[in-house]
Amino acid sequence: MASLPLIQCFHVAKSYVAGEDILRDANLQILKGEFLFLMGPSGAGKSTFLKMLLGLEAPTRGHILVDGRNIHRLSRKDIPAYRRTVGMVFQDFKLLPRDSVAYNVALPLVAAGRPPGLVRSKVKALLQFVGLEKKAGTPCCRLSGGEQQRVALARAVANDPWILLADEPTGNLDPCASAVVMELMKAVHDRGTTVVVATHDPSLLEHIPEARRVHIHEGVFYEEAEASSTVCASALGGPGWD
Amino acid sequence: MGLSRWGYYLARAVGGFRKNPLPASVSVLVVALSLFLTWLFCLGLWGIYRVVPHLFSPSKAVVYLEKGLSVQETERVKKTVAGWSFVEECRYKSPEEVLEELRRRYAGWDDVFQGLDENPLPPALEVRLRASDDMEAALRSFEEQARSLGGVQDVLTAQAWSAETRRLMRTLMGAGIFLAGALLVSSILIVANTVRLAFYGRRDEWEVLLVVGAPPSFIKMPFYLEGILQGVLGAVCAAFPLWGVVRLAAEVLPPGLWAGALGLGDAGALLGVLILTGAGLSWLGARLALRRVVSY
Ligand SMILES: Nc1ncnc2c1ncn2[C@@H]1O[C@H](COP(=O)(O)OP(=O)(O)OP(=O)(O)O)[C@@H](O)[C@H]1O
Ligand SMILES: [Mg+2]
Repeated sequence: MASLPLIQCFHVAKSYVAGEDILRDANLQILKGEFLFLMGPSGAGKSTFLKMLLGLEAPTRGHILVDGRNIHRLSRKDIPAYRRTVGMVFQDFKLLPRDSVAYNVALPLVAAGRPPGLVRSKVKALLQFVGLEKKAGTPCCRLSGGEQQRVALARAVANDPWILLADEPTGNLDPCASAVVMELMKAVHDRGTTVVVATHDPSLLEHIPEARRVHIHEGVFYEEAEASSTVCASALGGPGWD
Repeated sequence: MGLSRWGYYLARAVGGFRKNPLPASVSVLVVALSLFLTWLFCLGLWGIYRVVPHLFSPSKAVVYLEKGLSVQETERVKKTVAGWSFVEECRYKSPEEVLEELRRRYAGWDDVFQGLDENPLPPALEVRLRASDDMEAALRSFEEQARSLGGVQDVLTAQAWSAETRRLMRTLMGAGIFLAGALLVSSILIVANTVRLAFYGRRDEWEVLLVVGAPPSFIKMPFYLEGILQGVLGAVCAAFPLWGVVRLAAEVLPPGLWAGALGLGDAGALLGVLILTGAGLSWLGARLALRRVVSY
């Protein structure tokens, strides 16, 4: 089903402090409709890469194209619309804790100026999708971690993005809640969305065995096959990924 | 919950106000105080302007002609006066016109004009002098020359107000304008400060909005509204004491002389004008606070 490259990175380098490259010469193509695990130890630059894909950080060198457009050359007024084509889920959920579940899910739709009738029906469908329609009116701070992450997922896909980015989506969840969230991500992927999940937890891979696996090591991307032969023993150390 | 953009903006603005009531209330009070004092000053100034027109147009003078002056004589005086180099304009006014004008200007004092069997006023020439650097001297020489003409009964110029009185008035007015300006600026600044505080206090909230692709205008609008709400509430607070003053003035002074003249005689208009100024000030404050934030 995967065909055209949706995300293309050419010689991407990123440093927050001059001389300390987090990404060095990272090249990667992600095809439309792919499910990709981005692996790497803590501090490897997974979150940094996802932030660059969302346009929250700019690469120091190199280019990132999404659907053929260089996202760091977008004009100011095109950035919000671009971000609506990319949904993002965080390890710490980033919900508005005092506001209701429905309100949090409605937010990207309202911000995009969708008409109230559509917002209402869309929120209903999204809550049904993540199995939280009974908690629509509950403030998010009264939900369990797993439920909060489901709200965050519903919010991330509210505007039907092309791409879903997830940064350690199960980092704060127990195995059972993690499984539910991963199931939902798979369902989002099955609808044709390109999904990129950053994690350092190899057990997540079991949920989607057919997914593509890319590792970041010393600022460069490696496909798993390459990675296992070149860097597995030396640098990644610790637990393997299979 | 607000499912439309405006529903969202309003809910967030009111919510923000409730979350931080203390700075918001201080802001409201400062706006109320500045609006009250500024408008009090404006109304007072307008009252004086109405009572003492000469004060503000020192280039005007009135030449009263002798009663029963023939048409030819009148025409001769008018031509002479109009021919002087420092006279810009000279118009003839019949006794009826002069009386009518007085009636209009002193609308409250009808009883003074009643019981007049015949018009006691003489015909007059209304003269406007050319603007010059030394208006005092111009008026003085105009008065001297006019008095020496035949057929002239009296000459009235702004000279009637001594230079000192006018200087004092000008100083008072300058001080008033300065004070009102300072008050208005400080209320703009305090609204700006309150809005900025609210904005950075809700960083978590708008960081989420940035991620979900909300345009900057969507992120800022609730904070604009929160500021404007402070201005409007301040205006409502200022309206009560100001309305009291207007009522009091209406009782003490002849009607038509005071606030009615500004069109603020009814409570609705007064409230409207206050709310407009309050909203304008607080919008400026909010704009100051949110000018450079949330740019991509
Ligand atoms: N805003 C920032 N300013 C300076 N340095 C930063 C910033 N954000 C991240 N870094 C640094 O960049 C490096 C990569 O961080 P990043 O968060 O991308 O790692 P990660 O792979 O997501 O790690 P983890 O698995 O722990 O989340 C780290 O060394 C971090 O200290
Ligand atoms: Mg991270």
